Amino acid sequence: MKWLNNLSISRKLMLIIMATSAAVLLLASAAYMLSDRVATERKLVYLVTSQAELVGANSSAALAFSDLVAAKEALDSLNGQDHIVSATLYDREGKVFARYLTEAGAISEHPAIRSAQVATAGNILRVQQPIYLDNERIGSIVLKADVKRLYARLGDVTSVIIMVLLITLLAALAISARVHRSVSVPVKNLASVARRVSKEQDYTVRAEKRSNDEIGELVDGINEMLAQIQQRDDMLAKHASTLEKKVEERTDELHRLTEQFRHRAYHDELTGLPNRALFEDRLSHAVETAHRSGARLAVLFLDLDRFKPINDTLGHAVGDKLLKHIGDVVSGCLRKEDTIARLGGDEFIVLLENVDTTEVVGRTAQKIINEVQQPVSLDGHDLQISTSIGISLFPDDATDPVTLMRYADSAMYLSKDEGRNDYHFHTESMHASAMKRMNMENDMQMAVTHNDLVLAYLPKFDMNGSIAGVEALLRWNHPEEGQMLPGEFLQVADESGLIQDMGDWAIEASIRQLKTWDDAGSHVGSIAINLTGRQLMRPGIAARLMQLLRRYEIDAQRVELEFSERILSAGSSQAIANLNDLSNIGVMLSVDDFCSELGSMNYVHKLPISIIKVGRELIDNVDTKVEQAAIIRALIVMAHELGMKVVAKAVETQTEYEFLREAGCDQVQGYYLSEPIDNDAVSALLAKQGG
Amino acid sequence: MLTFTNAHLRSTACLLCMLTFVMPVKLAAGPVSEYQLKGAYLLNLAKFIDWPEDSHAPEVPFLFCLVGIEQYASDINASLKGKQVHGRKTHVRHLGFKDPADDCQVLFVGEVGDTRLYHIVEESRRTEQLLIGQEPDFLSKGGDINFFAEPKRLRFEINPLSIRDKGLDVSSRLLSLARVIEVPVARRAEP
Repeated sequence: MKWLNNLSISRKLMLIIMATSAAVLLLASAAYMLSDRVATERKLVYLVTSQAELVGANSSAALAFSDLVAAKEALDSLNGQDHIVSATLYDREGKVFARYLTEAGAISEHPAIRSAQVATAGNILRVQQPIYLDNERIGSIVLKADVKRLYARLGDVTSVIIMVLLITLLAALAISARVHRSVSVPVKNLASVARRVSKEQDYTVRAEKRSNDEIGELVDGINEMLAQIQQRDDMLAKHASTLEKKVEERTDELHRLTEQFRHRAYHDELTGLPNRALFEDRLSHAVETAHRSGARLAVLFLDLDRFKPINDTLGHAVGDKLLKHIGDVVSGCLRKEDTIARLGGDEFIVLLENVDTTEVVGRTAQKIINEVQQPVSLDGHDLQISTSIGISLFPDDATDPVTLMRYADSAMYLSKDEGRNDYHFHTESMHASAMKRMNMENDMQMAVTHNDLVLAYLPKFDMNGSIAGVEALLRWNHPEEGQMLPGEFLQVADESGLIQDMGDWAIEASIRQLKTWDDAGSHVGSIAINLTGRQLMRPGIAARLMQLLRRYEIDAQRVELEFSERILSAGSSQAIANLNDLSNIGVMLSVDDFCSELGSMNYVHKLPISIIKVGRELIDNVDTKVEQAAIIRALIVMAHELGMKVVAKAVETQTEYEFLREAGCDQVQGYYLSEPIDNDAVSALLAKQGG
Repeated sequence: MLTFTNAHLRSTACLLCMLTFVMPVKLAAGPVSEYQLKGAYLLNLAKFIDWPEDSHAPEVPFLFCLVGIEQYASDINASLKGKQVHGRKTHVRHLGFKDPADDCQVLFVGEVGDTRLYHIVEESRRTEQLLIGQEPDFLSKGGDINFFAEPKRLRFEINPLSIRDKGLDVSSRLLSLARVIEVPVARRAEP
């Protein structure tokens, strides 16, 4: 049956129709032929029986009167009947009376059929009919007929049936050719639609529905399916395009962000100028280029003078605007190929490329200085600022970028040291001092760890001459330079960050010493310790101090912490919080060099300050300068009014001392009374006084 | 083959010869006499003639009457005895000179002479009676059926006109066997 599966639907349909009609026709024909045969047979039997009856009846008289001639005559009447092969008259006893015989009739008959009234043997139909006379059987007649001849006479329907069969099959063929198209054509259409869809990926194609039968349903189903696929396809395409768009957007965003980050990485956020990284990069590049071309480069290191007070007093917003303004101003003084960068804080750096002479560099520096100090109005404040500039040259001073920048930096310090608002070229001696400074940093690091730091104690006296306490002063026993005073190393310590460790060391050493004195029976009332700005800015100072006080069992009120008025003017909230914490644990807070800066009065009453110290500037020649004396008197009155004590520093003469005592100053210290002494000397001095 | 000088003998011999293998008459073995054969013929003739339906009731015997052949009555009787015709039992009666014949269905006439025959015919003509004879010109004398001998066989002649005139019907099959002589029925002068 495999061949059947490979046939096209139209062929199958035709085959089915043909097979069906052929089968139906054959069955019908067979049935017809069968019934025809039966009917014909009946007809035959009837015909032959009638003939037998007739001839029998006609022979009855002949039989009755034994008239053989008449009997023969009666039998001869069958002569025209082709199908009759024999006719025999039997008498009452069953003996043959007369016989009519054709050639075909000379067949011996089977005994079994002799008794039957109607019987067939082969093609021979035998009919026996009794002959009656007046209800008495006087004999019988037997007719034998050739069935074939009868059939031939009755007409053979077979040929007609075959003809009809053939015609009908032809008609079925014609009909099936038309009918199968109603099935195969839509199916073919569907197949071509499916092929088109898969080939062109076009889901908008629809199959045409031509009928409402199963194929129509199939068409509907396929169209529905196509519609869904199309919908999904559209959705997919939409999603894909959305995704693409999003990816594009993200990519753009990423590019933008990358650009932004790159810009940020290489630019100063506030001024938009290049930052240190970019500057170093450009400088390296320029140095490389200059190496080859033999050109000269200049690096200008700028630091604004006294910018910090402006920032502190007018606020960061104004400070920031000023920095931006300076950036613009400096940029305005430069050529296109030059680079300006902000290094942070109030520091700027400039690279001048292809400079022929130092004069040109000097002129540019001067121009910057002049432009910077032009007054400017920002947020209603009229501001004027200046800058100090240090310059280094390539290849004159150095040939590597790092050194060039360091030289410019140190040259800038020279400008600062020499009165600011000026520029200086790098020199060899500057290099030497810079080297010394670097060495000092190294040594200082060793000092902290090697215990080269010591404390000296400056006694503090009540106005009745008794020792009220001491101020601890830091000394560095340098292995080569000898003992160094804070003024010689504090700045370096501050800049290098070592001052932190030094300060911590000083606090612990002071408290430990106080304990030592206590244990030795020398009663030192209080000890004053100097705090650096960095220490005061660091969180947790009160807690650390508390630990030390506990460890050495020292009453907090015996510790005075001195700090510079400058620290306060910065207005750091951390510093103020630390001061409050320290006051809370009970230590005395003391403002050093009170009134050396502007604005002291602004905060002094707002902070938990117990002591103010008056510096040398106010005390110097106080006996002769009436205004100074007035200020000191007023200060003392004010301090007492606020519950503070006043300590006068650096008292050097008796007249000064007398004045202060008269003015009501609480405590004094200075060379007039005692120079700084070591711990043993303090004990000795106490012993002498107490003694 | 035997040769008969006498016509009767000849026909008898022929009949005998035929009956041995043809006649279905119960005659057992042995030769059949001429009048036994004629008796059988009478019976068969009566069967081929139709009488009117209502002429007689079934229980009334079918009467064969004999005239002028007393000497053969027993032979004829032998052939007819116990038979039926048209559903009625046969009965044979020999008629004397004065005996009426009007209730006979078949009247077989032997040697009676012309005068008596005349009266018999006249009388028969008024009844539904089949008149059978065995002499030449019997039909022209008014008979219905007449036996005559042919070599080897006994034959008969019929006048259908006279039979139908009596209201009887004769079968065509019988006619086909007989020599048909149509003698119109007329008033004939006495002999």
